Amino acid sequence: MTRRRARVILLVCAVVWILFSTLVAPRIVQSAYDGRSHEILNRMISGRTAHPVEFYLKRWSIVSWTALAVAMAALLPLVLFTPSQLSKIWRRYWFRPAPVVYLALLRIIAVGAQLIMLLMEDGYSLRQLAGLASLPDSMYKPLPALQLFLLPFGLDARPSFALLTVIYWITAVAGIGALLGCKSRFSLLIFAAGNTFLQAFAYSFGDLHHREALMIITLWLLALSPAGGVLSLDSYLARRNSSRRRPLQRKSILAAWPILLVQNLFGLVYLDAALRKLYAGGANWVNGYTLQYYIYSDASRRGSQFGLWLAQQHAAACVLSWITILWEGTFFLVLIFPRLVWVYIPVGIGLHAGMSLAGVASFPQFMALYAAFIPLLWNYGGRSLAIKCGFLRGSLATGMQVTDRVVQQPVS
Amino acid sequence: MDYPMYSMPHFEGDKIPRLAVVGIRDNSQQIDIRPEEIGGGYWYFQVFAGAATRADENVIRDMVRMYETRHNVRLAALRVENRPLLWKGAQVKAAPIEILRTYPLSAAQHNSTSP
Repeated sequence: MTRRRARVILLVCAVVWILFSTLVAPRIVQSAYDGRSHEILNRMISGRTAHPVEFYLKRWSIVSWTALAVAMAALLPLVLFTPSQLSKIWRRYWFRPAPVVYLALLRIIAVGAQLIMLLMEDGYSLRQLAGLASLPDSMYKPLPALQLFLLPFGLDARPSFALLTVIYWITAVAGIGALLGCKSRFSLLIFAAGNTFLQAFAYSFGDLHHREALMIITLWLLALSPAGGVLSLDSYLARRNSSRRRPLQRKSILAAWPILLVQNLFGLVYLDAALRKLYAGGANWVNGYTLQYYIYSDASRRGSQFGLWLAQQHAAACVLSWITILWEGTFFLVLIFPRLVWVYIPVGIGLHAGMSLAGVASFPQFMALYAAFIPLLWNYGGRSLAIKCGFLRGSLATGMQVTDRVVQQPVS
Repeated sequence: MDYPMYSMPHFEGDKIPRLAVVGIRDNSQQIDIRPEEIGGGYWYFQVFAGAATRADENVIRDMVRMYETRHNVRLAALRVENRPLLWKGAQVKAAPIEILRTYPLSAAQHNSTSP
């Protein structure tokens, strides 16, 4: 089959799917809701008493459009490019030679931030672990990640406080090692595993949040990458007996993918957050009252005077709602137009810092992980700014001459 | 995972729910069980309050036993309340308390060593 024919077939399938999901499927959902459809379909609708039919129609709409988007994202490249072209594009995007120094900076900032939180924030402290360890077994529903760690002891095994204490301190020591770049790969692996274990335990009592997820994923990515290649004790010790100089110029084809993956995850996370708001509330989400409600609700619980004041400013809440939804929904544009990083990252820092001050959910991990955008900040304006301000002369740490034209690649 | 953080829209006049769990002693004395008295803090208190609202017998039994041991009291019943705040304009007022569930505790659900 030629690729042209495959493209036509894919297009026809997409059109048929859209017609089916918008014209035919809603009627099937309606009849299944009324119990008039095939037995299997009728059984698929549960909780009729709790939800009106509109709830199921909306769910179907989301599922069908998501399925279409995923299928197109997976199949379009296959019909547009040959396998060798795809392989080339894949390697050129994820495995381009990039300076290891950016990865090392991400390692230092991400590990440093996580370590500070582990050692100094109440929510991650040993005292908090002791409180969780005292919760009854009836509340304990271990997450799959925790079950994986405790598999040799059975699926419902529960770690004691003594074990949690040991893991906490091992994680902290590994964090110091990872921060300094001492036995980097091993330290990063233990730090990632320790944090995953402790967080999975904390979320095994029916309460689940998402602010740690991106940090934990990043720690694992760092552990699988050459993040300890420079700016580390390892590289210093290796260099002592070597004639190689200028280690900061070191490049690797394995240095770009973790940073690119974190950047892409940010785009996805924020887009998902915006779409969920628009799906649940549409234009009502930006009515100002929604944001006032959430700010007041959280600020009163956490005792933030700034939050209580902000919750009373309707006009400010309207403006902030629009900024939030636009910023979240379009953050992925940074990946396409890298110069926008100078708008999106400062706004992001402002929004997250503002949320923290107002007593709304704080995301210090996200702010630390903005370090993944340092290559963009540097290559798309930061370098020129540094030269203008007289901070730089001659060649840069990345090995590129300051007079070089910026290469249009996000991380190199 | 469905995680609708801050996604639901709200309007002027909406109530901000605040769950509270009240322990009732044999002598009818009522004690507020506070989030800081539950291991883990606020969010885990919400899980407990949710379990009490659903009458999740196992969680209620274990938590009551733990509370009774720590505070050396004996509870005859639990009551889950919503003490909402009414959001109107720039003003917030306490709305009438709603009783979500009263859960009598049988003898088996107590800590046998508590008074």
